[in-house]
Amino acid sequence: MIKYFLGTKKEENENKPQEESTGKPVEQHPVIALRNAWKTYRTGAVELTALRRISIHIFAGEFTAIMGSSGSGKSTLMNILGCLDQMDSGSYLLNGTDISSLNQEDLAFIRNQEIGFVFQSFNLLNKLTLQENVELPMIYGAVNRGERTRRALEALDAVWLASWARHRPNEVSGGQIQRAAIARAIVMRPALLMADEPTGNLDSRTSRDIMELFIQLNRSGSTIVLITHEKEISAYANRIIRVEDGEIVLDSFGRDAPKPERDN
Amino acid sequence: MLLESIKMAVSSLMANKMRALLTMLGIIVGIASVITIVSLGEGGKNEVLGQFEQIGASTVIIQVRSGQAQAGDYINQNDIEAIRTRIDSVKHVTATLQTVGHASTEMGRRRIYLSGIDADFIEFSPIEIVYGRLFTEIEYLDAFPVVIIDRAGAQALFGRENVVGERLTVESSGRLLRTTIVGVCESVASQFSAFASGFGGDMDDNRGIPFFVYSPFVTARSIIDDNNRLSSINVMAVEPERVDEAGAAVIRLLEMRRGNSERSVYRSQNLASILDQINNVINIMTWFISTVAGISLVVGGIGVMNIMLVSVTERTREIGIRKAIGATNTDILFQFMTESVILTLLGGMMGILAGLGLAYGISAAAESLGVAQITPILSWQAIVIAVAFSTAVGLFFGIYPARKAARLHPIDALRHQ
Ligand SMILES: Nc1ncnc2c1ncn2[C@@H]1O[C@H](COP(=O)(O)OP(=O)(O)O)[C@@H](O)[C@H]1O
Ligand SMILES: [Mg+2]
Repeated sequence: MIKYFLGTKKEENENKPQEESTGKPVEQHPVIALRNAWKTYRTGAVELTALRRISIHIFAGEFTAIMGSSGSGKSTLMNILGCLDQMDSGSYLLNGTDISSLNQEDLAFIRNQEIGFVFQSFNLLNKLTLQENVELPMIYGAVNRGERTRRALEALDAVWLASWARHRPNEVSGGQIQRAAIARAIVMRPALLMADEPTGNLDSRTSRDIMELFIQLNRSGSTIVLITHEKEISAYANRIIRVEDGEIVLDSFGRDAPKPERDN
Repeated sequence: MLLESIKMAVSSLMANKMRALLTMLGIIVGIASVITIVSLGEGGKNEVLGQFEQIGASTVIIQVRSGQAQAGDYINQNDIEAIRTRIDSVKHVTATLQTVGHASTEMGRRRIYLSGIDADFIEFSPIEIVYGRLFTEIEYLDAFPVVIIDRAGAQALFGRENVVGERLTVESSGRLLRTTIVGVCESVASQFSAFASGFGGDMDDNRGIPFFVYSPFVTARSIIDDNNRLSSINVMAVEPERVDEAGAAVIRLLEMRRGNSERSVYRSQNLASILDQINNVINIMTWFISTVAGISLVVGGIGVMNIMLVSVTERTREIGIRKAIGATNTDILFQFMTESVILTLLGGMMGILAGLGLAYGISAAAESLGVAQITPILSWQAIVIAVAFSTAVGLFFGIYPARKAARLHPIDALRHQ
């Protein structure tokens, strides 16, 4: 079931040979190629530089945790990587597309097609059922109704929520809501799955379930960038990038993480 | 996408039914008042037109302006004779005395319209005899106490229709006349006749459209206190094209006989000029109500804008979520515009229904009060205009909140509590 949600778009992968042992597609270019990113917030007269000379390359199939204390710039970085916000200077190629040249409508399209978000505060629409929430990205992606229903149910099944499809968020537990949010994030089969403190509002048992789900998605090919300030959570990733005061201070690969070839 | 937008908009409105309804109120009132006046106006026009069609395009009414007139200016029987014989563009001329009175039998007393008619009357307004006959020449000439009553009157006063030969006591302004019924005619539920007779204020008994009783002109004059003055006569031209000519000729003749041309005492009205006047009255009313409705639509529109702004604020986070998962600015704009248009369109449709209901209510009330009998007519044009206006209000007042929503920055929107 989960095989449907590979790291890159299914259509693109169909004719490409896949390495069966890892299940990860072989990619020529990085999913994320961010170079020398700067971001400064201006609130009245106060200027706050949240990101300084950040360069990150992330390849398909990686499970990266971005770590750092509160206020270090993690969310700012995620917003830029997720095309929700724009940086002041620097260059950013997402799955080969130059983001800095895009207008608002194009950015919305990229968010719809290439990126799946999982938020700390879940961010499901409470008046919709779980299934309708999962269908929402496909509505904006102009997927037809029959296909929409089919894929939504498939994604809900992948996060073990098939029998909760018709429930509303206020009728299920926090862990279930977050799993539905994950289903919504993977249903468009994005190139990149981004999660900003996805377990921040969950107890430790539920957190483990959610992290197991991420591991499983990663094993079946999803490229994941996870933001956390908790060591236990970052331990699930195979690469850890540590940010302090808007700068990268550490970029390390875990023991069982295959180091991809770098182009720089 | 459109279907999805409509679904989203409907579910969001359903979540706040009371608020939506209150917001629509201005639109409902605005559209309803226009629909009421337009459908009553159309219905009234139609009714009046129907009455005038019976009179025909060849008829011209000569009236004495009561403001300018002196005692000697009023039209008399000799003038009518002169018009009949000396103007060749005139085919028929008739004078009708009309008044509101009462008729009584052993069974009861009812309000009637009493019309004193001459032999030419039926050329202008046919009397359809059901039982008995019309008046004879001798009855016209010698003021026989005979009457023709309409079917509904016979039914009301005798409990049956064929009442030829029965006795009927007719009274007007305190004078009594015992008459014999020689004919029963088809009822004409005629507002025109009601109009023309300028019904008086005695609504003391028997509400509803009164019955019609006809008698020979001279007979009626014996109980109608008019000092032998006619303030209005009907003239029929030989053909419709010469109706203006006939009217002018009659006025010239009357002025010549009186030597009062410098005071312009007489005026003529024909079908066209009367229709003009009626249209004028309806148009003035329509404009007046439309202005009121316009104001109420603007107020309603501002209400819609207000509630949509509230909605945008309440749903800022939702907008952020939608944008994060791929909604474009246009998608958001469309979603909120759809919502405001559905709001006003729904209000418009409820307004059409309410307006129609009100029009039927007013028409029923008017009929039961005996004021008029009008069937409201709702033309498809009126519906189209109402729908177009309510849509326009939704678009116009919805654009600002929708743009505000569309332009929200996804990050700011997501951070909103
Ligand atoms: N919209 C904003 N306006 C001004 N300052 C901001 C804004 N967003 C974040 N910041 C500031 O930028 C810094 C980095 O914030 P953030 O990226 O949210 O950190 P983290 O997610 O690691 O806690 C913090 O000091 C924060 O106060
Ligand atoms: Mg943060």
